[in-house]
Amino acid sequence: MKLDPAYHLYRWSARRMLIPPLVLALFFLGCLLVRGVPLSRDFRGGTLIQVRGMENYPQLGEVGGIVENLLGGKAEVKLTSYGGLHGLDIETDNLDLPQGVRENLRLSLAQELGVSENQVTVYNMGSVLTSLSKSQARNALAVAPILMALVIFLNFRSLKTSGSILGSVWLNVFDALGCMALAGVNLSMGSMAGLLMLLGYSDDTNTLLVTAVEKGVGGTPRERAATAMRTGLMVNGTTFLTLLFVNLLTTSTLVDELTFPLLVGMVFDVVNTWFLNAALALGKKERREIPVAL
Amino acid sequence: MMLVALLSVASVWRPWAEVNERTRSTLGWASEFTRGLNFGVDIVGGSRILLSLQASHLAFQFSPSELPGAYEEVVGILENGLHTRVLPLDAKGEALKEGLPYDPSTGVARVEVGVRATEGLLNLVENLVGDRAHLLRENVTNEVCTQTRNEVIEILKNRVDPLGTRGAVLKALGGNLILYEVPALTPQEAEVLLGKQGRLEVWLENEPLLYGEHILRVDPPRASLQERNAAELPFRLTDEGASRFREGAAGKANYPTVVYIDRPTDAVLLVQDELLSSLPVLEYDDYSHLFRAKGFPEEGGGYYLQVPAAVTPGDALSLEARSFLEEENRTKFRILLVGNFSEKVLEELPPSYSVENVPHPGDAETWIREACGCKSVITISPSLAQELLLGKEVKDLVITVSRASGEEAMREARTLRTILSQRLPVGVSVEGESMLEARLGTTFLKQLLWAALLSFLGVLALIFFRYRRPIITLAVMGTMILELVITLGVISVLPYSLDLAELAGVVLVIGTGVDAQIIITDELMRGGVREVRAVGGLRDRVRRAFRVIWGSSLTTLVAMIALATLGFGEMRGFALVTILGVLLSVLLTRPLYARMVNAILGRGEVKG
Repeated sequence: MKLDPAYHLYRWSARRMLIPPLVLALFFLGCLLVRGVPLSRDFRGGTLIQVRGMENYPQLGEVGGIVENLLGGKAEVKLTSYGGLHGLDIETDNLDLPQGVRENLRLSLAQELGVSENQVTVYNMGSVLTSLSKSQARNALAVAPILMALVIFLNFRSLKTSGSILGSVWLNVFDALGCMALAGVNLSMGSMAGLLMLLGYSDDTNTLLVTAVEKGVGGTPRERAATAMRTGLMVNGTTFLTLLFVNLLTTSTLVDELTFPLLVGMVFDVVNTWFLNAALALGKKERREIPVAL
Repeated sequence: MMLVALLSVASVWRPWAEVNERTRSTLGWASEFTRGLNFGVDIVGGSRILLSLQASHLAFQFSPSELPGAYEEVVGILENGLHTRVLPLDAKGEALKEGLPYDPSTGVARVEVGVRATEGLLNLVENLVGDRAHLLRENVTNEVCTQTRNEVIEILKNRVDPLGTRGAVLKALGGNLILYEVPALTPQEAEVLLGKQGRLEVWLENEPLLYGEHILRVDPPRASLQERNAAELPFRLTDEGASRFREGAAGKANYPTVVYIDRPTDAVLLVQDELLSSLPVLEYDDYSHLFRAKGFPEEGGGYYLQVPAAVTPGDALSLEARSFLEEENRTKFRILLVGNFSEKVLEELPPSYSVENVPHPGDAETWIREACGCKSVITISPSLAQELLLGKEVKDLVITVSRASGEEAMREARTLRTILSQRLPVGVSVEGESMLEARLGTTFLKQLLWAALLSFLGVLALIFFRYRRPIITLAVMGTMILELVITLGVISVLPYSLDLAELAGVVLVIGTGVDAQIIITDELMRGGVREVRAVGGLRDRVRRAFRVIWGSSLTTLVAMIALATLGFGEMRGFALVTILGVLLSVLLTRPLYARMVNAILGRGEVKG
């Protein structure tokens, strides 16, 4: 028996097709409400620990482990040098450490690294966003959906069609955010870039579907949707493969955070495009075609 | 297209260019073939500089019955006495947004001043304020409010990385510290990028009249019509600035207004006394320890250069100079040398000072003016003085810059414009600097190369199994490679710094660019050649495929423009690389691929 990924497009009613994406969205709404998306250092700041004047430097991974044990949470260790001596810059997610904890951290780290406590300094590190950047970010994030809606509307000149595409595209982002909450992936500059890129990728498949159903020629709308779905799966498949290799083979937090929402978003895109948006597009087309059929 | 690809290879490789030493030591042989690319901090390392903002928070106890008069008086005294901006703060130490600048019940007021708090400064403040208020020493801190810190970060970001492509990062570190990180540069090079502070002051009658915050905008410079070898830099004042100027300059015909940029408020000049005989306009006033312009204010003279100075022979430090320097050490930390001094003089200087040479610009008078940060002296014309007296508000003023040649004057005026447009509200000094080693370096590049190679093979397999036509597979993969080469080529001619996010962006753009090829191929091959002919032909199908591609590309572009406009961090580079990749693919490689497939199908190579 041959497995047909577009089986539901032939056999299911439009209403039935709505169920999987809505169940998924409800599940991730729950995840978001219960767990919330943790914010990264980019957005809320953290702590910078500087160790200076070391003649030799230890394994960076070990130092990261020591700090993670002392403070909990992730620690990123960078090696520095000046005037023939070495230093360490350790960045952690911990925010506004009380004076006692800071002192304890200095003493423990100095002891572990075999340096004097005067060589260890602890700073509260602010976010990369200044208040001006925050207001710019708010403006950009407010304008982007409007521009995107305009682009999609100009492409289809129909409020309903553009609305269904936008709904499906944003639902991908919503599901990806829910999945980040579930997996405990930080909302950082990297993951935000991934979420924004997801918008473009999702639009790809949704436009493919709607163009096939509404403007395609030959066959029934469901057959055209099924053909478009095969193309769409291929498109998602190649993208998924690239993202998967980049995510698995590189050891960078930033790249992990960038690719995670894209990877999971590609999966949700299949559900939201080929079930939710397909249901809406086919429902609309079939309602329009019923009187003709009668 | 092949020519563009070849040019791209040449631009990335650049065999004629020097290899960046830092890149060579990190990337090894790979650096020889990527001379045109600039790599980011995580790949080749860079510099980390700890910047300290010269500002402090002072708290005063007023007698509640004397408020608000005493408060306003003290603010005026501090502005004039410390020659700095005084920013009212709320109880949490943040810039006051609304309400009274003091607590009317307790009489406590907090302000931020653009000077570091030292014992000397606190004594000076107490002397200046007298019994108008009591300085609460226990509440004095060396810190800046969020507003000032953010202003400084934004301005420095605009200076060092205006396009956000260099990969520079600036972060607040609490208190008055800022962390500044920039890839592939030594700390010295990174410091040069920070540039001058750009603190503007305009003085009239030896009192500060206007500060940088009173400037609304600075216009492009122009050659002066009144003076040879001079350039004029017009600037516009804010409403408050115009009103201060009117109050200060009304009726002061021919009075000089002295314009300073980065007047060294923490320094004392040490001037070689042999230079004094060659000064045409300036003279040294040994009572006030300041240089003074000869003449009277009504004749455009009589102004003092507001940096204390000691004069001594070039071969020995005089007793007077030494005692003056020791006295000034309460509030000053640097000695600026104007003249040629022997080793003996340098050894005799009080050790608590740091000593800097002021570059010799040509003549002694300019040397002293430059050391004081004095950029120009403008006299108020009689007509302007009269207009101001009659209550007219003048907003447009001009700084005249004179140099040895007109060209030099214009160059200096342009630099001044940049500095004034990006002026800092408080002083910034370097607290510590270090080289940041490449955290991931070649490891990350190798990982990325493996990821790219496996993606390439994976996509190749998927395409082949889907279409089962080697020539189509070849066309798709060939277009992918072409896209990669051209994208890197274009990046190499732009001031982009490729760090982790940007490199991942390149791989993602290329890896996902194949989507468009699949859409074109599927659209063209759907139903076979017979159906192609029946339903509008190849051209209509290509048009339909491009409609989908353009739609999604425009959405990606809008999303990435939003990300680039967010204006911070390393993701701006990622967004710009993605925008570039999408534009290149939609405008260059997609049409090429469509033509290739068109040609293949036209020859009947592909059967339905």
